[in-house]
Amino acid sequence: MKFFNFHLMPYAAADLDAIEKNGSAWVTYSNSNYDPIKGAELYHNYLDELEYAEELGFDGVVLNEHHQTAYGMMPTPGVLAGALARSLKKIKIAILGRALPLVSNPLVIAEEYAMLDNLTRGRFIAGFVRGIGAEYHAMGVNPGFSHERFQEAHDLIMQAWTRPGPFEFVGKHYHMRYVNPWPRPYQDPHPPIWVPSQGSADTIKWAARMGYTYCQTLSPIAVVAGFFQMYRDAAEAAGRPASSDQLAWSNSIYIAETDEKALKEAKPHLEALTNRFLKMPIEMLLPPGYTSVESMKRIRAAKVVGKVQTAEDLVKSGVVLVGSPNTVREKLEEYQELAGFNTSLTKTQFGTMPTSQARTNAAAIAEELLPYFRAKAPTKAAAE
Amino acid sequence: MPEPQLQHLDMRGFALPYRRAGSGPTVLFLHGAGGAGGWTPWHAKLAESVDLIAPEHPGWDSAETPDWLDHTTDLAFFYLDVMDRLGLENAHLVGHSLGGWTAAEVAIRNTSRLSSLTLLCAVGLHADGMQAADGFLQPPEERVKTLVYSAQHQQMMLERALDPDLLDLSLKNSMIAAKLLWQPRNYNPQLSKWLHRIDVPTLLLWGADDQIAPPAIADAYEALIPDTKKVMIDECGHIPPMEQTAAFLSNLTAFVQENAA
Repeated sequence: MKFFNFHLMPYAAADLDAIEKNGSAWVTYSNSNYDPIKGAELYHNYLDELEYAEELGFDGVVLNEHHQTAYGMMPTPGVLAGALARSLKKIKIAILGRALPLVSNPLVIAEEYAMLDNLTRGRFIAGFVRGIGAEYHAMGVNPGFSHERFQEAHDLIMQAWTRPGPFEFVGKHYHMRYVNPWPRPYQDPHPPIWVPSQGSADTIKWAARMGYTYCQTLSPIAVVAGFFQMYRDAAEAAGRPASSDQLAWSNSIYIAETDEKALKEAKPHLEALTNRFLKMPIEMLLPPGYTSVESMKRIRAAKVVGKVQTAEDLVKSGVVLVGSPNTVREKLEEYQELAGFNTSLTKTQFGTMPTSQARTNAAAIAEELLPYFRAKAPTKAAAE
Repeated sequence: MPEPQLQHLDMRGFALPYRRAGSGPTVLFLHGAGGAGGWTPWHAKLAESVDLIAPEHPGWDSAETPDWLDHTTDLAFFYLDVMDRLGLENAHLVGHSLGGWTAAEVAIRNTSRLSSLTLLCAVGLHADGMQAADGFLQPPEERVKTLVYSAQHQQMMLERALDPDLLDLSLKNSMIAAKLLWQPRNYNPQLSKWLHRIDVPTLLLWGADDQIAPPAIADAYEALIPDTKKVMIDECGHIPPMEQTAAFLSNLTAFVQENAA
């Protein structure tokens, strides 16, 4: 199994009570609560943590994009990837991703990703996402055109990377007289494409048909297993059976000497992430048109949005892995077998966790998990 | 008067659902983003003095959602076609909220079939400094407070918003509403350039306490449309036909009679 160190870069200095009072850390939580002195310190701590991941033997690092939120300070992940492109010498850099429908000209993403692929000499992984519903409030982009714009932007970027320019692109949302971006990607024909999702069936099946790596965000492991099976089935049906490397589970892992100690240390930070940084009203998460009426009804009926979860709940349902080295190894092995993934996108820092604690945790994961899982692949996967 | 049957008008393969009843001057009523709401007591009352045509917009209520509907101007061109198809003469175009914006978009293009225009709590313009509520971000409990003025109507609207039998319909309507209203939020920055073209008498009928289309929008329309009459209804939010039915009906019917051919 491959391990990527996934950083959300939360504004860990946030006043959690103020977020609670506002109802969300997104869109309406005033940026007057952002202290640039503390923010700058956090950026550097987080970049240091990702550079440490290379020393520790992780296979890569992961960044992502969110707007107008204390949940993550990466509206422009390419800035941070650019910084890491020079300091990381061996491991991969993934941006999961840029949210394609949010830009009025997707060629800027084709250009940015191609630059990063050149800077890293082919160590770059290109993530394409639609962005969560809150981004459509934050960025003034119509959620009713989200699916159309994602597909069209994807087509434009892939053509920009693979067709000799200049050529003309005429779509419904994007109209480019000249498509001829310099530089071209370093990898031939283009960087690997990874597609994260909260579990949209359309996205899972599309990623499988296209042969793109699918990344499942924060979900209980049983649900993850179902989504990964859906991917394998769709890949099989499309005549391109999936390898388990194409399935990536996004998780948080925390290791300490004993289960009790690990839970005690991780608890405030996991709960800050889940119940403060991630919290948003359903109107913000699911603006009309972002997803189908059927999906909206299913999500509303499940009544999971905004539900308070304790660290114990998250451990029990297998959203996160917390415990002694033995416990976490056993659980991860069990989950890998159950869901059939061979890529772990692991947050070693989450919520309000201070950098010293995050670094100790990352080192423990590197020591206790990386060597053990290095050559271990799930037995299920393509054959099933 | 019995409730009129829902009929369908064939518009180049698209079936437009509409109800029509009454006699007298023809009123084409374009509903707002919340939907047509069926045939209610105020529809029946209005149809006692006019020939009322009340369609369900493409994408709303029982109507199919056509591929061509991406913008409010698409809806405006569609209703220009509808007026041609129905052969309307000397009609009175009335639009509420999003329907009011649509009616203004119709009227800047062609008023040859119109005798008057009524914008009822219309959106479509942005007025400097106005503070409009964001209905897309509010939970239902907050939304009803900005939608209507009285506690009694807020409670009625909340019960309707939480009624599981109406959930499918409200989700459907919100999808198409978001498509037309999201960005720029509730307006077309091009519209103000052409409002001088409206050459029929125009009634600006408004809830004085409207927080969705604040009265500043009525002022902006008043400044740009040549022949206007502005009437503010007291103790009234964004839905005068429901909240101040009598004032809505008396002002509208008087204006229609005044300007009947």
